[in-house]
Amino acid sequence: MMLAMFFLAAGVAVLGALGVLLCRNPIHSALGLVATMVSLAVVYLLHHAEFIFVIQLMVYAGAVMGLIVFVIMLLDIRREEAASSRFAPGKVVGVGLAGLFFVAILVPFTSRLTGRMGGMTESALERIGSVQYLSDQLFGPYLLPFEIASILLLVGLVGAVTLAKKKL
Amino acid sequence: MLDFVIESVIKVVVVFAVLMLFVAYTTWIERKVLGRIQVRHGPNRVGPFGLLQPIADGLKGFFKEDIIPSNTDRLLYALAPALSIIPALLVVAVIPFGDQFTLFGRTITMRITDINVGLLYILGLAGLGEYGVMLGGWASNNRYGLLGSLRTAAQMISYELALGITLISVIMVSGSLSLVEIVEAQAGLWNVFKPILWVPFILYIICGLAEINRTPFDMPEAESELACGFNIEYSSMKFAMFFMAEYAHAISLAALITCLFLGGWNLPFVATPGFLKLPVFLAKVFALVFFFVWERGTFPRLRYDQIMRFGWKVLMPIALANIVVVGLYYTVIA
Repeated sequence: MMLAMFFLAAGVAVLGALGVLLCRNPIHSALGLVATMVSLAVVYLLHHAEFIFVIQLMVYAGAVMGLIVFVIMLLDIRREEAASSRFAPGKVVGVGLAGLFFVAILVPFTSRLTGRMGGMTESALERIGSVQYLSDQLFGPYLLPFEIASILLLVGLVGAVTLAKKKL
Repeated sequence: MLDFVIESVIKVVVVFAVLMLFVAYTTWIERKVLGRIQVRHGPNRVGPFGLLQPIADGLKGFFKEDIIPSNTDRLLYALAPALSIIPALLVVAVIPFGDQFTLFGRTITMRITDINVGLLYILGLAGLGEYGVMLGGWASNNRYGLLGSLRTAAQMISYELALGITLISVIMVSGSLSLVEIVEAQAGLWNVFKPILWVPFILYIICGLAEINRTPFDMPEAESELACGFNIEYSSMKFAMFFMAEYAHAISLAALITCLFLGGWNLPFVATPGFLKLPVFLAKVFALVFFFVWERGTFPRLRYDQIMRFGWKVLMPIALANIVVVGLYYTVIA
């Protein structure tokens, strides 16, 4: 049952990601990304990470993608300009990064070969996915990094407003 | 496992049917009460007191011609009403509308599910709800529609923030993200009777009205300037779905305010007998629905720049300051 749900969600995520790449219309691409985000949220839920599930829905599928769709509509981009087929340095960098990422994804699979498993067993996941555990950790041992991260985000916010506004 | 699935399916079907019935009759309440406020009768031709009017409207929606304008994005045009109504219906899954009762030796809880992040789940769905409206206006290839969608997107994103921040103080007082636990914590003393939660209560109602696009924040569909707004090109059942989504949102907002502030199924100050819990809950929901209609008949619509300024420069600072106040109250005084 859980496995079937996982494959359903994962399948939708992959289809959405393909949609992002293959759609010519930017709104369709953005919606493909929304589908991917929502199905990733479902995958998180199936791994007992309820808090990450709702945060994924709220922040990524809702707020971030909402803003992206909003900007695309505001600029009224109907179709992508015909893509240039010539050689671009950006493409090489992109392919290189994608390759590195693929290798990084393959790392967990090496445990199958060596037989060494990590600490994230199903029972451990069930324990650490809850809001209570997460908040105990964030406001306990990780308080300083948490506060530093929030200050960083605030600085980013102020910087963005300063750059965007000509007159404050 | 199997009986759990069967029980859940039955509950989902029953809740869906009852919700749709409520949605239909909320339109009747709205038209009747607005009529009275404007010194006219409202619908009174179909059935006694116009009670069959929602059914007639539903039938009409089914049988009308479904017009798809040329040059629309057909896929998104068809998808938008569904994207608009689905989040509105999913919210109801975590709302506890009663305690529990025993039927044929089985204890049945009066809610579809109780997840321990129920409140955040509702906020997450609220974020998804705006896509239907945004895409509807964009896909129909109409300037008024596009303007309506852009306004909606901006307004919903702005007020969602204040809405979420307001909820933090309720979470701090209740000590839980589960709606069931929040309601149970209010047995005897509703949240609205705690002075520390008066400001969040008012903020929540204001932001909630903006979130469901009701007057005085019904900017996305201002008739006088946008000629209807995001749903201008829609007809037949697709229009009806937008319409139903709007009322389903209103009902779920009323249910949420009931759970968060008005004690859910609890009577004030006294213990509630089991058989009264569902009626008490529904009475509160309909009192709030009546309030939504009442304020629609009372307040004029705000201008668009006023709405945005009010959201960012008034509501946001108050909501942020409120967290500090509640936090100080609980660490220093209580």
